[in-house]
Amino acid sequence: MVVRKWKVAIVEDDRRAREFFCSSVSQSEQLQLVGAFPTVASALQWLGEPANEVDVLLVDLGLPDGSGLEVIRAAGKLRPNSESLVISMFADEENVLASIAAGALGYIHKDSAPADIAQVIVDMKRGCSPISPMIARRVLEEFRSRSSARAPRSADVRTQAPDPGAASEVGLSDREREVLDLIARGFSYAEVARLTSISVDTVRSHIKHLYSKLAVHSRSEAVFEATRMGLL
Amino acid sequence: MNGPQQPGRLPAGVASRQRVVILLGSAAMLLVAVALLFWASGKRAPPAAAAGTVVLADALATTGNGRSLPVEPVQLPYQWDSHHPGERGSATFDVSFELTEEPREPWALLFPKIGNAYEVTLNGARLASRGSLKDYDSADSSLLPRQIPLGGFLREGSNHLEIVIRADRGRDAGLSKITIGPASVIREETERRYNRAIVGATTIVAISLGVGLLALGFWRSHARTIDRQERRGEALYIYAAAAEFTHALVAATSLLETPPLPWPWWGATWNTTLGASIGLTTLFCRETAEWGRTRHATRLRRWLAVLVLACTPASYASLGLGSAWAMSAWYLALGITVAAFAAHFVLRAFRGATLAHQLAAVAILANVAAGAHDFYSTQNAGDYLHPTMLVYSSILFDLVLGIILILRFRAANRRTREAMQDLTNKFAQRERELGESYGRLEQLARGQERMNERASILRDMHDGVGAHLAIALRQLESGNVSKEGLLAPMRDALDQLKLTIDNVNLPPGDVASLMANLRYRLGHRIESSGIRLQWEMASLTPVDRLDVQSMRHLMFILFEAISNVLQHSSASDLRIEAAEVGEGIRMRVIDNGVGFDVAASSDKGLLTLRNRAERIGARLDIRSLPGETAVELFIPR
Repeated sequence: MVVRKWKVAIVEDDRRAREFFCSSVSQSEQLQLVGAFPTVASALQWLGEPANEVDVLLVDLGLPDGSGLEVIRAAGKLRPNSESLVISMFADEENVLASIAAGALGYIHKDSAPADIAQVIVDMKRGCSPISPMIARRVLEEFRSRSSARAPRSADVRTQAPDPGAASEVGLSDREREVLDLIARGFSYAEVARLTSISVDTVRSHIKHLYSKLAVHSRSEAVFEATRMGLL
Repeated sequence: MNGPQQPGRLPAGVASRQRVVILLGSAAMLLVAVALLFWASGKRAPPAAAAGTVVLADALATTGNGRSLPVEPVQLPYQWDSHHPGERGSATFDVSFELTEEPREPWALLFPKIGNAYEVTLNGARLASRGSLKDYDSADSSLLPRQIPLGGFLREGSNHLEIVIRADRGRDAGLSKITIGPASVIREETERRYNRAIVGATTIVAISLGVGLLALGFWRSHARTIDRQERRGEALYIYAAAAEFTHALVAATSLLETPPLPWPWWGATWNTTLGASIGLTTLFCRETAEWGRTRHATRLRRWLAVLVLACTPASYASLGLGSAWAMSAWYLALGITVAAFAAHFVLRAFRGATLAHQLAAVAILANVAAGAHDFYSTQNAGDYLHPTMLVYSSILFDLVLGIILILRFRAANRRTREAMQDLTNKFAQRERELGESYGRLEQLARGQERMNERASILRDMHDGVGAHLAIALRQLESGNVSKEGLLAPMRDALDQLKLTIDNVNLPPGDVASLMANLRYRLGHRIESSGIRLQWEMASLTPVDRLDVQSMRHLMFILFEAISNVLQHSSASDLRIEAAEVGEGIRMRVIDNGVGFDVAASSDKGLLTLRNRAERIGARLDIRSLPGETAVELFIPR
């Protein structure tokens, strides 16, 4: 059986950084570099060609002609099967949360080692998104504030979610909340798995599930969220 | 008239117009009073002119106290006190008159004044009596006019009327001229006199009480609303109320046939009340003219007080002991005092005085005129003194007093409103200023906060990133460079930079998040060092008192502690824990490395750690033995 190579495109304006990521991707046997773009416009133009296939997009946020978030949102529409990772120096929570809201499934550090970069991409395709304790804490807060904002309509939510007890925060199961809480307290995936008596893979899938949940919520409330985060 | 804040003064524009209206009104009232006066006196003179009546004024009298008194002819009216000053006794008057024919209709007698007690006999038949002829100082019948029907005792030709009276000492006893005539005419005349006495007294009582209550109400309202500085205005209301109430008391009791006290005491009491009323009215005028605070004014008040107090003994001496001169002297003293004051008051009223002062002067003039009229008409009629016009003018005075009170109260109220408005404006102004200065302070505080935060970040850059970059630079410059020696400070610099940025977003007081983030940022270094990490992180409640800066200090302490283990300890196990212990949070970084001599260590890093722990009010405890080194930090809540 031939191992499938994931097609990766890179959007990064800094030439050295772009070259570093390109070479990191090229060095991996599981990845195939299909494009590298320095601007939002060039990336959008490339995505506009239906013939251009892509599985993973690595996107820097601060681009000369706009925000990388535009590319992520466009990819979500034009290539629903693709997945985006944000390239971030500090993976600070404001930027990461904004990226998740736009549809990104994770982030990648600029100062990572080349092998680590490839690993993060492959892990994501296998269903594992990275999450920092601070992001976990913010996600918990996010769901908590949503649940309180929707409190008056909680009756509707109950009837729509017939599984009682599964959602203590709106849209967040007890297990997900427990996992997020432990991660927010600094525990590793392995430790979380041990403490909650589930497998590490289950932990990973919980996290990835959370990302898409956030993105789904965000799409439906994109304007609200973007306003709240100061993007609009 | 000293100072611009005169309670009676009206503001310039309103003043002139209102003053003219009020003065013209008062003058009109005075004119009407004078016209009434002449009309009334014209109507009454001569008193004997009533149709078909006869006035009897000649009598043979036996007067005095004792036996075998001489009989002598007298002219009525007979005023006991002027013939027998300081004495009491009885008098018998024989009055003879001729009738050409026996009247067909019933006739009657009218005694405008008779008493203190009396018995009337006509042609040997006893017609009427009132009071006891023997009991001195008992009830007084002389206060109201009396009419006596003559029945069928009149004869054609000579008739003989005998009148016996009891005369108390100084009680205005005596017998007025007698009118005899048809009963219908006599009844009419009696009723007229009776009504005048009763209605006059009642009107005075009603108006005095009304004005007195008005003054009292103004005084209470004044005392509530005017501040201490204005307290002097109170005297006007108090004097007015007191003068009016004493005036009402005097008028109400002037016609009491049976007073509540036996005579000399009742007389003394009544005189003293009258004296007090006059004195208080004088003081009211003094306040109206705003002379309340001069030295003369104080003397006047004291002198009036002495006079009023002296009235009781003087009255008793005169009415009880027979020293009639005492009361005369007292009347003289009071008369001179009041007349002198009134003259001064009236003269000053027409030299730029306040409206209230001028009104009071007009009222005084009206009273003087009325008094003069009454005196003149009494002399003319040769009868008892009947204070007819004085009754009306005293009512006029009460009304003027009421007007003055209202003027004064309105002026005081207006000033109070102005003062309140002024105060409100000042408050608003002060509030605005406070708001502005508070805004400035807040801005300063925010600026200061930003400065502090900036300074704190700069310090972190200096101690962390800067220091590590400097080490790396020095190593590069020395040329003696190993890859590891260069990587370690560079990595530290980057990690600290990330931690500094993360700290901006950390909720203040959230120690658990801070430690979790620390692990996240240092995780790859711990892993690559080959040290096994044991992470024991309890669920921690945020420490409210830790602010952004304290969180930075805490982050730095933990970073240094972990960094030390990684770089110097050669440990294989590292245990990091945090838990709620007692009233605070206990954090520990424990390794099984080589350890170091805590006491001997003069490491600058260690000193910095202690310094930072002290700043955030935490207890730092470092124990080190080969095989176990523990850095323990306790943060009390």
